[in-house]
Amino acid sequence: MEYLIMTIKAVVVFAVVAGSMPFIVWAERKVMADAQARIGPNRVGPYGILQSFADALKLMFKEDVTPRQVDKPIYFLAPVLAMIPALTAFAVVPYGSPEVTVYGVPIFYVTDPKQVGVLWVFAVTTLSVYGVVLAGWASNNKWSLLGALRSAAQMISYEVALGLAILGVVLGSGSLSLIDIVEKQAVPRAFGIPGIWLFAQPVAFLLFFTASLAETNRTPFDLPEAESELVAGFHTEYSSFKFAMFFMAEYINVLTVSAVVATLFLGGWLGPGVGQFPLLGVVYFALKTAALIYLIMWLRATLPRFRYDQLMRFAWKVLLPLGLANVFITALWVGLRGGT
Amino acid sequence: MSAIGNAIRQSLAILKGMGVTLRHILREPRVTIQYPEERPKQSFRYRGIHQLRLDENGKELCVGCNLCGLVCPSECIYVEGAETDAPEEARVSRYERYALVYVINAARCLYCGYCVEACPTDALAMTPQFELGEYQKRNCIYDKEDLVRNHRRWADQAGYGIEWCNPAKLEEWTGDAKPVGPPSHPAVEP
Amino acid sequence: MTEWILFIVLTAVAVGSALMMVLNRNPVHAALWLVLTFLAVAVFFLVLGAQFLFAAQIIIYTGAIMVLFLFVVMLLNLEREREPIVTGGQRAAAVALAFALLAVLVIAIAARTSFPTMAMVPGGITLTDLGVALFDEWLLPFELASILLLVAMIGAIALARRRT
Repeated sequence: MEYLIMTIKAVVVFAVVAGSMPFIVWAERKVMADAQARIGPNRVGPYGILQSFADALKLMFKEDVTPRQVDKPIYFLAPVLAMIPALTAFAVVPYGSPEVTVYGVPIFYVTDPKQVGVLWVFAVTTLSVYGVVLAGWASNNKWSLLGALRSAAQMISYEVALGLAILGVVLGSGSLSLIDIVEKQAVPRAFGIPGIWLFAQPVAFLLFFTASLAETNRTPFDLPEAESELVAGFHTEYSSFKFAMFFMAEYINVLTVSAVVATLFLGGWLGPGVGQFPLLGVVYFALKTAALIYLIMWLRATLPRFRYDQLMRFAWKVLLPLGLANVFITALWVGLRGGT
Repeated sequence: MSAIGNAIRQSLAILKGMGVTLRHILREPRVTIQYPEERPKQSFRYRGIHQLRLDENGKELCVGCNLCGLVCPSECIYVEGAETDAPEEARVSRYERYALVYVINAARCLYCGYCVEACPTDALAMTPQFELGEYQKRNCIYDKEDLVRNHRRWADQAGYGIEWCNPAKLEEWTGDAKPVGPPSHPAVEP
Repeated sequence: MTEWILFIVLTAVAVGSALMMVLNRNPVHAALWLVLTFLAVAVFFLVLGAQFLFAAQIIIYTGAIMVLFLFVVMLLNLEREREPIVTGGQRAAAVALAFALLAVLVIAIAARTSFPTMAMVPGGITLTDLGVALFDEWLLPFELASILLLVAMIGAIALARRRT
């Protein structure tokens, strides 16, 4: 029974996440258009909101070209591997107050493994590199391979910063469970500052956000696909639905990153009035996630791409020491206060 | 210490950049033209497809000299000149010489306007018409009839080579800019 | 019963993919089979109630170490299936060493009188248990291991530096 409920919740979450993907793509195109004095898609549906559906249909019916001399099994596996981790991370994210129950079953999270929690998010995001790396290698194409190599090095470098950033929050909260982490943020700090980790752990927030952008290959860390140098990077040789899967993976990743940052640093479902109306929590969570998605798009409209050496230097010489210092200071603070 | 200073300066630079984008998002006017509904405003010397002009009596001005064909860099103009002894009323052209065949291959044309420059009688000019898409390449080849039809349709519009043939419209078309040199044949209403 | 099915499936996946890894000629394919092995082992940890080890296994082995492996394989061996030059003597030595290792393992396992059966630890091993074990009971070995890693890292950097 427990597993059945979990499965139902997982399917619903999958549907919502996958279903919101076209709208995120549309939103990004609109935001980019805004920043570039253009209008953006406005033909299909009101304000062009159905543009993504039209594009998806087009991609589905396009010819699926498989170049000769690709490594077939891996070539077919890679897009799937790119999509799965992004979706799986949602398993532990609470998107509403756990107090809301239907027939005694809390409906606003799929599962809450107390001993793994945020580590699960971290673990699946580290797996997302395989899709990119294998796609690049299996394509048997110079540009793709270069994209894959960059991606591998980039992911490994930024994982370290990501882990250290999470550690700051986990140390402060004293739990790995995302629900516990959110509930920890409910208590306001001194001078009426909200208890969200954004204010208590600003360094961790910046580290996590930056490293997440790098992990999901978003601008300014989009070196693996760097269209101005590498044609399209790792997905150069992909067409039709397989390309669409990479595309979807990227935007689901954006959604995942935003949801996780909202949970870890912005207090997830917390907000004024949630105590009386627990259903409001979903709205707050959605708003925070949407704001972060907008921030990611805004950054894409603003920042140019890193050069490769800058990328590496930034990871190892800026983010890593900052992360270590943050963990050290947090641990000291937690220790001096005598536990969390 | 300088490293920290650099880091702070660079972080501020990112914020500044985001401020710039935000300003554009909020205030920048959109430059997009909703094309089929909205038309782009063209320059008064826009070089679209050609037209073969007629004079006030509806006679062709072209004398079939093939100067346009000679000067054409992509060699897309073919002219066959001919002469006639017929009286002026019976002629198609204003002159004794006229173009028997006049063909422009618009698929090869690069719209440089040299042909218009070369024309001694100002018979050839260009129109602002840029919508020249065709499904068949052979439809891109314009004969004399097509080019005269272009004149009938576009003569009251500005276009390369015609802008100063229409002194009445000059002000509207050019604004301050004054075209150089007088026309050998002033414009006529189509 | 469920545990047995789980155990058999997981073992089959782990051993099978490990075999595929060894037998595969293509280095990238071999690396991928190794990833599958690691994932199967991670699920073993999960089944045994060691949730933290499960996450750590995925993060460290599949997420970081294997990616580095792939990186190196792609960087070095771009022509697929090129056999490294191995002499007969090396081959014989490798076989002998493998059997020696197997013998040591078998003897070590046989020397133990009883095996803890595969059982679900109630509630699983908590993080607190793990932390206490690492930083209290086994502090010295833990720190020694970290020093060993540090030495290895410094050594690698020193070797890389000398060449340039």
